Amino acid sequence: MGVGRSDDNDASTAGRNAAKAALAGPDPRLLIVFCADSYDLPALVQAVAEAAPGVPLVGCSTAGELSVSGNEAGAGDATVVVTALGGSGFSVATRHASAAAEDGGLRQAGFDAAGCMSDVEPLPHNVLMVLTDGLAGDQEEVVRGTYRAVGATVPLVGGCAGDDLKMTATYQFHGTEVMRNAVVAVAIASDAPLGIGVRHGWRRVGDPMLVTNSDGNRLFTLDDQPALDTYLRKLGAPAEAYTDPAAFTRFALTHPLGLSRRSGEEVRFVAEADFHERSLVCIANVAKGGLAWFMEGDEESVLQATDAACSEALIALGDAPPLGLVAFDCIARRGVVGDEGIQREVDRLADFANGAPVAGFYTYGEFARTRGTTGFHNQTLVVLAVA
Amino acid sequence: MEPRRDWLSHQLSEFLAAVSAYPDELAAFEGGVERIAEAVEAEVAAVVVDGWVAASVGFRPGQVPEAQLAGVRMGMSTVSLPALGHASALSVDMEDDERNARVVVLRVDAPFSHEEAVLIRGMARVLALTVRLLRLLHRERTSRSQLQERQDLLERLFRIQRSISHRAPIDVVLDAITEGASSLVDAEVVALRLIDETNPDYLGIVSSVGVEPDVLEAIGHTPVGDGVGGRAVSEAKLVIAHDYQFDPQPMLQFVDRGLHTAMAAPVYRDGKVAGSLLVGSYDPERTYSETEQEMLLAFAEHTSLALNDASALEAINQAFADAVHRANHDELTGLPNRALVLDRLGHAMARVAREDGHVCVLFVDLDRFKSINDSLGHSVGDEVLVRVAERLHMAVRPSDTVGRLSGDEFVVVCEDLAVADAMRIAERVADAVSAPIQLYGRDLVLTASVGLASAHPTAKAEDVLRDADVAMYRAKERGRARIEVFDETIRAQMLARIEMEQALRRAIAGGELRLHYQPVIDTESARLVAIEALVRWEHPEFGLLAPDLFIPLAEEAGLIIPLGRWVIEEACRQLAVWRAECSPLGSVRVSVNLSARQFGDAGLVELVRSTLQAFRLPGSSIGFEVTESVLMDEAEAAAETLRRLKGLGVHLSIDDFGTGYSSLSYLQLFPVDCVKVDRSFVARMGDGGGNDVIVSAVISLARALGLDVVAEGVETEAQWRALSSLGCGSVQGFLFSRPKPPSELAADYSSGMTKPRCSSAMRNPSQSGVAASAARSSIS
Repeated sequence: MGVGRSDDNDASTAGRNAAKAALAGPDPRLLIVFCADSYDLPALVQAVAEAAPGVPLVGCSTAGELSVSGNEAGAGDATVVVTALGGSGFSVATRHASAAAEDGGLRQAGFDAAGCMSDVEPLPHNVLMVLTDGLAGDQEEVVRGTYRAVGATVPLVGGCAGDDLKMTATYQFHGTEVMRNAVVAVAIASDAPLGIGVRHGWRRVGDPMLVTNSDGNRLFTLDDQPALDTYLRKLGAPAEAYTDPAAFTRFALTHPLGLSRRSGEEVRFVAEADFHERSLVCIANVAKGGLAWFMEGDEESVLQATDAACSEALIALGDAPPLGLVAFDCIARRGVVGDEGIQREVDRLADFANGAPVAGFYTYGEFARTRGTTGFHNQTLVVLAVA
Repeated sequence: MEPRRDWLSHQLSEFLAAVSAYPDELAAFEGGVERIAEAVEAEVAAVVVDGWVAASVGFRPGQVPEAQLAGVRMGMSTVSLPALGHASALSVDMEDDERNARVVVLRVDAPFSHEEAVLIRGMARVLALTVRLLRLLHRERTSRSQLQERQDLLERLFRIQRSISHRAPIDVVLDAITEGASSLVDAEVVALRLIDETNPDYLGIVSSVGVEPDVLEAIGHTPVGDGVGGRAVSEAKLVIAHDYQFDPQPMLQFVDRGLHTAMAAPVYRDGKVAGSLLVGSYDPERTYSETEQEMLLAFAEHTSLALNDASALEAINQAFADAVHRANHDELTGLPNRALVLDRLGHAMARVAREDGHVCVLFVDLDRFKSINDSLGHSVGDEVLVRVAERLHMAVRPSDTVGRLSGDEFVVVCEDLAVADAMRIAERVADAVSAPIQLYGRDLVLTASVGLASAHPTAKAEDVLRDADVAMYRAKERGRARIEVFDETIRAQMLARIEMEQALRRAIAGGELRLHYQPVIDTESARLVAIEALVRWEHPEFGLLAPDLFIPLAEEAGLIIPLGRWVIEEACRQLAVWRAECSPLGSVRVSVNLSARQFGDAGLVELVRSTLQAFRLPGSSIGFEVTESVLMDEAEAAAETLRRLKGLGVHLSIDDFGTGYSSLSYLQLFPVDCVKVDRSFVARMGDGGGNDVIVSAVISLARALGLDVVAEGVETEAQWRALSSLGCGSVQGFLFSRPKPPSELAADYSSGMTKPRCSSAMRNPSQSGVAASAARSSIS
């Protein structure tokens, strides 16, 4: 695996340079592109594709890119990071599908794109990676669709594309196509293990509560009490968060909701409060009838999660040394630790990679399913380790 | 972590809401297994029915290990599957009476806890209930549609019989038969062949549907024995060809066109085979069911009937020709009378139907003719009619028929004339009538109201005449001395209005409406819990009319709004009276039915609000009942109206539940409190037709959604006991009390009592040896 990075302002130059650096090794099988949405994306993708004709290319726009290659380790905006995965032990297949309602929506897109799993060689280790439009609705439907297509034996990783927090349009790449509202999927089969680590770094506060009323991503009541009031009271929110939407959102950034899962929690980012309805508006669905906690965190807990996710991914590789890591890191975690904090996070990723390259991006939502059937996360770090 | 106790019930009710939204069994299974897997975070969930995997999640399509899943033994176990490794397994029975159905759940690593096992069992049970309800409703609908088919056939045959007995021309009758066979047997091709009387070895096609002109020409005259229709004649029995081209003697023209199946039945005249009726289809999948074979035989029998009748008629016509002619003319004017007009009209219609032309009818009625008769005497009146008859003759073309139906009603039949041209004739007729008539030295000025109707290709002569009559009535209504052209709008408006509107309007304004009240009682204690107000019309002629006899008409005539308003106000007024009298009837809710039109009325909510205020009643003292169909038509608008009504604090029920779409899931869209199980289900409980299960499922699901259930139409103690054992909260029906006038109901309930004094039937069902709570364990 090779990783190249460029911060050249010109899309073609940046794409070409990053691809060239990534393609140092022989026999490339897959190119993954993470870049700022401010680039001329068709030109950039074209330049990357021309660097390795015939090699499948996937990628997306981001809310920040991170990379470790050689001695260089950094995270920032307005760059392009290209990953090249290669060697004889891999088999790769790619597909994409439109998630537009008239094409069957997110679930159908997940199902269709994940069909690439039937195109790879039957090797002992598999993973399905998806890149989706983070602004396109209920991403749990993508998980359901992919699960229907690949079943329990294939784990899922991936992330939702970003646009540097402009929240207007995100882009997905497949080949030289630049799309919106698409699901791009990569089936990776390998004769060596593939490891997945998932951690969010938030701590539970208080007792679990029952989601007694919700509708999609709106959470009305917890234990039959208005969700907003319970949230503010139990977490001891500052006075201004009771009335000021901006103050509330600042507070909510470090106080997400955790949904009970066998493997821990699935985190739900609390995006805003409806002061009139006394409800919480989350970034993804909160199903009625489930158990939930309020959560809190700080830079230290976020960075501890980085360590834990990396360890979990690497342990799964057994004795094999990692060829590289791919990280899907929530933009909200970046918000908690700040720019200095993310530098420390990338340094830790580099330490775990132990000389192997790392590529990743800041996401609008993360995918990871290893157990059960669900696997859409918020404010979480997902690490894929390749051996 | 230990799950909380309330987690289970919430998960279950969520599951119920989700699966009851599915439209059919398979979708419910597919969605159900996905939800079950998610709820316990299992990798695999499946429904196994009679050893087959009906739905599953966790495997790639085409790679479901059916045998292993079907082989998972009941209860907890561990299994090992390729690629998945060791997994904990739980298999639970869905308790389906009709087949062996199980839910199988597999989870890697962690065994299922006791709570999770309970949850999965509950979900399996809910899934089974939902699916059973879907299945039963599907069957119910299928049998209803079969019934409908039967009904259609009978009606079609009845119409043919009527046109035979009304002496419609034979070709019209035969066309009605082939068209009827085409639509009811669903055949693209229909051909009626009869033996050529001049050459009895041949058959000629006398009526057909879907046979192209060139084919018709080629096979219009073929030897007896050729084709499926020919064989039906030579073999004198029903003949079916499932693969037409391989039939012994197929018609090559039909083979070329790709006719795939055909079936023919013989028809008889004077006891001998006289021809055959054939239906055919181009659909390669087409087969003919026993019902369809019976249908074709029925149509063939009616063809025989028509042929025999026609030959008899020929003889009669010959013998009584003169008498018939005499009977066909009006003595006063010498014009054809109603019978002859109808006959000529019928012939004209049959003629133009073949030639694709038009027939128009003018219905001419003299305005205020009665006043001439009254003021100048009948002899003058008769003279006027003779003069008008002459003028009408002058105003029309020689080929048109002018007739006199009765009194001052004339009719003109114009053949081969489009409506626009007939309009010009109508104008000439109106002008001719309105020119002054000189009689006994004075000028009489008359006008005429004219209705114009054109003959619909499939209409009967009487229908066209009636249409013209209705249009004439419209011309009168719009001020007389006018010409109006008949259209369907006129028909709908006129018929509904003329017959009922005035009477109903009088009834609403004039105090002929009554409210009768029927108690709703608690199933267990038999205490009064609510009262339903039901409107009656005390018609001066016909006596007390039930709402189904006048509400639909009130809807059509736009009278439902004032009628509905009266009902709401009267119910509130009566309730206020009971409350003022401290009657026990004043302590329970009175509910009122809302019709579709009323429900869609923008003023409804304000009416309810102001009426409640006027009678100083709390919202909770009044309930409204709407049917499912009302809600389904415009669900969003309906939900909004219900929310606004709910905002007034009133109680809301779904009426006649089970007769419409019957998905409980949509109930969640609406803020309703109660479901009323339709009387038809209650009436058929215990007949072994699955109604008990439907009622049971509705009750269980409704309760799980937190809704009350009222069973309507309870007439026997057995029904009461059964409903009690199913956990139905409230009941209503003749067993307890028929709907009664307020005074009678008040007499039944003396002060301080909430049980009627006089009903011998009132006994607590649980005292009749029924353990009332035995079946209450299902969901909650």
